[in-house]
Amino acid sequence: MSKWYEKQGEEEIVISSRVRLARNVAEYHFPGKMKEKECAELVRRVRECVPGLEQKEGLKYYSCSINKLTETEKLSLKEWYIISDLIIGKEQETALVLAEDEGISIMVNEEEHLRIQSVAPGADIDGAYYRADRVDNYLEEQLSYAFDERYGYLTTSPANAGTGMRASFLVFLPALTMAGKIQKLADEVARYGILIRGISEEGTKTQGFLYRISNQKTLGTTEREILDNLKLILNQIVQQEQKYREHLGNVSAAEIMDKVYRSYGVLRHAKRMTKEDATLLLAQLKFGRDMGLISFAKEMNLYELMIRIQPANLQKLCGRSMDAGERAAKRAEYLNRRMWEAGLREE
Amino acid sequence: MICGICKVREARIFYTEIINGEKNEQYLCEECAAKNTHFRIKTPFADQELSLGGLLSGLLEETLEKQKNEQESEGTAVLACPHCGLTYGEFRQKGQFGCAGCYQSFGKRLERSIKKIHGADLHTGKQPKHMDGPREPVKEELPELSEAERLSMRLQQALEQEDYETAAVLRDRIRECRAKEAAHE
Ligand SMILES: [Zn+2]
Ligand SMILES: [Zn+2]
Repeated sequence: MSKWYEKQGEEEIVISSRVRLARNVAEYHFPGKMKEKECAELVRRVRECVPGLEQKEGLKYYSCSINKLTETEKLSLKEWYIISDLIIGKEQETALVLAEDEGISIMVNEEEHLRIQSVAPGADIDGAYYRADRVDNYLEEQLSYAFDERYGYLTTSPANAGTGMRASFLVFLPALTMAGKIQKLADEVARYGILIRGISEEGTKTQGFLYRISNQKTLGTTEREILDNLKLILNQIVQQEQKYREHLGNVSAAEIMDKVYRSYGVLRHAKRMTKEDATLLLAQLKFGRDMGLISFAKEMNLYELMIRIQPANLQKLCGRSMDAGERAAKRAEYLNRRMWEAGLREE
Repeated sequence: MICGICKVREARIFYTEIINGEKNEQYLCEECAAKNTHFRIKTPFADQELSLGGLLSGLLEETLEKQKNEQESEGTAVLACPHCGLTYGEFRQKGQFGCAGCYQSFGKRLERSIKKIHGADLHTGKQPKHMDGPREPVKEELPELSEAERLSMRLQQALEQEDYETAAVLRDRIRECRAKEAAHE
């Protein structure tokens, strides 16, 4: 079965939709105060839910102890946003339950007992929620959740209480970034309880013009209200991005065209590329392709490529660990080939 | 757990006194804890009031950079969750609870911060199936509070809103109150 991100080409602006639910089991202390024995017991109980989940969802699930994975495996899962630094760093027993298509993943004993994550391609937050909700309902029947009439689902951080839900879109905003409009946009949407942040390890900067748009508050509104509010804001942002793309196309077409072809040239021919360089080049190429400035004979999923060239994924691809210099060479080799396979359409 | 003083009500407050370096731990209900907020004991650990409101006044002293010398009240009071042992101080530091019971244990103090974070304090979303049915209005189970306790809750509000003028007035009223209560005993 293919993964959710392996479809032909990625969406132009809204790459994916994600819903995360924080849940705790009533009978155990929260992870921060959990005893070794409790951790192990919870992991065992969640893993016992796997056959039932497979039946409910009609697809295969894998489960594993995170501490038993190799470093490369852990980091590559992190590069796909399936597990977090927090859970990687934990000494207690933790686990990951992962659907075959990677559209559902459950972290056990991270900040909360359970973090159910559901991801769908494109702007399909309802689809992502529907699936998360179904998994949540099944787990709730097996494990009794910590719930309070007033504060809803009880969580380690009161900032997650209530619905325990963070819904988000991963969006590609090159035009708004180049126009320097992101900060202003972030300030504006904050008034509606929506957060925009760049995708990168440091949190503030962005890599590849990618941002995550999510709800800030989890308590006091229903799941439906949170999702609808988020969709409304997303539409506004998408419209803004389109407006600025049009504007950029009008005022600096030649400059952008040059940038796009230079990006292609480097990706196709350069012999060494760092992760940062490659990410930016791929993002610029995506921008050009989405704007119709450059085209290929074969569809290419450029978001998938941005993740595939991250250090751990690249090492997985090559089947061994490598130092940074070697990785830069392998990354270039891989990208050269993918560009050649895609086949540039010349006018 | 049952309160160590009245042996009737449920203990919600974990109370640690440090007297002359000796640690004394007690689990108290909120009412008994509130009644015992005006112990005045000399200890080598200066400048903290031994009281439920101790944390609050401690915070205020800091904010106002009050001189320590007028404090004859000493010792430390630690609020903690009786279910998992997490202290209120630890919670303030990390913003993380140790168990579901913490929401009860720190309930009163929590209300304001929850409202501040979410702009609301009542869950309206999904409920586990076994909870389905019409939502009952949330019962307010407020223990009887002394005047000083009520004032110290208002003090916390004022501090959270950074209204230091009101806070200073409230602090003085709490002092008067405690002095009066002490005189009555
Ligand atoms: Zn009592
Ligand atoms: Zn607790």
